[in-house]
Amino acid sequence: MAPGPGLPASLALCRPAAQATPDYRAPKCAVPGTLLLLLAYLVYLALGTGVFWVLESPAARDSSARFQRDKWALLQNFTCLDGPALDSLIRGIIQAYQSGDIVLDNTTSMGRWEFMGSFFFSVSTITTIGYGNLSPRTMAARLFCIFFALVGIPLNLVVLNRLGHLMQRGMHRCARRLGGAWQDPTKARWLAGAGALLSGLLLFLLLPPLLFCHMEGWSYVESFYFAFITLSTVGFGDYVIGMDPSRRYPLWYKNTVSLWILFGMAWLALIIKLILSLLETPGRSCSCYHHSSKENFKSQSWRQNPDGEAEPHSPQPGCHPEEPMGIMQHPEPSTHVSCCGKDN
Amino acid sequence: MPPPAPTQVIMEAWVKGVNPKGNSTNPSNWDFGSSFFFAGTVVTTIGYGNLAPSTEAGQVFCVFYALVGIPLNVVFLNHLGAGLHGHLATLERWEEQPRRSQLLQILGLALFLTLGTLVILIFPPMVFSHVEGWSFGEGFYFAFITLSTIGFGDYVVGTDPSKHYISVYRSLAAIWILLGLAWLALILPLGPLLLHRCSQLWLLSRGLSLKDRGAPEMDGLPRPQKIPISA
Repeated sequence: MAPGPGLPASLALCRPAAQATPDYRAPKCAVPGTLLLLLAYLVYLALGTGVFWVLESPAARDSSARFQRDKWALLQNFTCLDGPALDSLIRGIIQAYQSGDIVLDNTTSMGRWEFMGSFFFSVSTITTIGYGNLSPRTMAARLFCIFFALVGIPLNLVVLNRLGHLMQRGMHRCARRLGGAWQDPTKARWLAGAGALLSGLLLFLLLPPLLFCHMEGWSYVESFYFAFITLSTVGFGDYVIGMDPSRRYPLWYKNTVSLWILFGMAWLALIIKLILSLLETPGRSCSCYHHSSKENFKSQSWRQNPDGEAEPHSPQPGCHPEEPMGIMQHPEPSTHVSCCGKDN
Repeated sequence: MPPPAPTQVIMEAWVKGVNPKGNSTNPSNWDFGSSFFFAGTVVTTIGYGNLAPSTEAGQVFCVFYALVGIPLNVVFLNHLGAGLHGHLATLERWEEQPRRSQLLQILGLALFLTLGTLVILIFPPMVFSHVEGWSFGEGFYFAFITLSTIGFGDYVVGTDPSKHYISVYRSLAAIWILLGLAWLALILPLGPLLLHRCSQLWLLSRGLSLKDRGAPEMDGLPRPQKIPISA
C-alpha cells in the first residue's frame, strides 16, 4: 500500500494515511487499549500461576518429603553425625555447587570455569539466556559481567537482526520465484512463510532434541523443553548441556550447540515477530508497528529496497508493505516497537 | 537397592527447587506467590531457574505458555512505554527550533533519563540490599541481571527461607521488574538520541552544517524534510 500522498517513495516509512498531525495518537486510542492489555496480561499471569501451582506443587512436595526421609535415614544410620553438622555440610555442598565446583567427582579437575565453560557462560550472558548454573562469584567478575553484557547484548541483537533479515530475504526470494511460476504472489508468500516456519521448526526445535537425548541422556520431552527454553532466552538452567561430569563430550558438541543457539534464536525471533504482526493486524489504529532503536539503521536501508517484496499480507492502512526487520528477540532492549504514527 | 548417595539426593532436591536447608515441615516451594513469580519470570524471559517445572506436564505447559506469553509481554511493555513517544514527536522539528528551546529539550531529556535511572536502578537495589542482607554491589548486580532479562538466578528476591518478608514484598518486586523493563524499552532509543542531539548541537555551535549528519541510526524519528534515508 502506498504511503500518504506527497511523500517521496524513497522514504516509504510507516505513515497511516489518515494522520496528518504528529500527535495523532490521541489518548482515547491509547488508554483503553493499555488498560485492556494490562488486564489481559494479569489474567494470563494468573492462568500460569494456577496451572503451575497445580502441576508442580505435589511433585515438589514429594521430592521434599523424600529428601527429608533420606536425611533422617542418614542421621539414623550414622549416629556419629548430628543434625547441625549435617546441615552445615548441606550448606557447603550447595555453595560449592553454585560456585561451579564439581561435587560428585572425586578427581581434582579444573572445575567448570575452564575454557569451554567460560565460553558457554559468555554466550549465555550476551544472548540473555542466563542459565545461572554457572555464575560469577567474585565482585570483579560480576562488574566485568555487567559491562560485558552492556556491550554484548546490543551486539547480539544486531547480529540476530542481520541473521533474521537474511532469513526473511531468502524466504521472500523463494516466494517471488514461486509467485512467478504460479502467477499467484499471495499464495506463494503464504506457502513460503509456512515452509520457512516448518523447516525452521524441524531444524531448530524438533531435530536438535534428538541430539541432546543421545548426548545427555534426557528424555525427548526434556530435550525439547530445554531447546525451547534456551531459544526463547528464558534459560532456567535446570537443564544445561555438557554439565554431566560422568559423560565424555566430543569437541564439536558445544560449538555446534552455540551455532544452533545463534541461528535458532534468530529464527524464533522472526517467528515471534510474525506472530506479533498477525496479532496486531485487526484494525487498531495504533497497531502499525515498526521497530526503532539501533537495528533500524539496517532495517531502514533494507526497507528502501523493495525489490519484489510485493504486497502486504497484513493490510495496515498506509503502512509500508514490508514489515521492517527489527528483531524482537526478547522484550525490552530489542523490541523497541513504537506506533508509527507517533514517530511521523 | 542401596540408597542413593546423600550428595546426589541433595543436589537433585536442590535442582527441583526444594530447599534442603529447610526443616521437616516445609511447605512446598510452589505456593501461590512463588507460582505467580515464576509465571512472571517465564513471560518476561528472565527465567531465574531457582524454581523450574520438574514434571513433564509442567514442562510441556511451560513451553506453550511461553510461546503465547512472550509476545504478549512484548506488546504489553511497548504499550506501557507508548506514552512518551507522543512527546518525542515534538523533537522532529528540532532543527528548526531556536537554540534555547533545543537546549531545554536536551536538558529535559537528560533530566528524565537521570531521574529514571535513579528511581529504577539505584533506589530499588538499595531497598533489596537492606531487606535481603546483600551488599549494595550485589543488589545492583541483581538489578542489572534481572532487568536485562539475563536472570542467572544466583540472586533472587524473596527466596531466603530464613527471612520473614511482608506479604506484598514479592508483588512489589514484580511491579518493579515490569516497570523497569518498560522503562528500558523506553529509554534505549532515547540514549542514542540524546547523544545524537548533543553532537548536532556541538556541530551547530561550531558553525558546521547539519546536512551531512543525517545519521540514520536515529531510528524511527523520521525527518520528512531532510534527505531521504537511503541505503
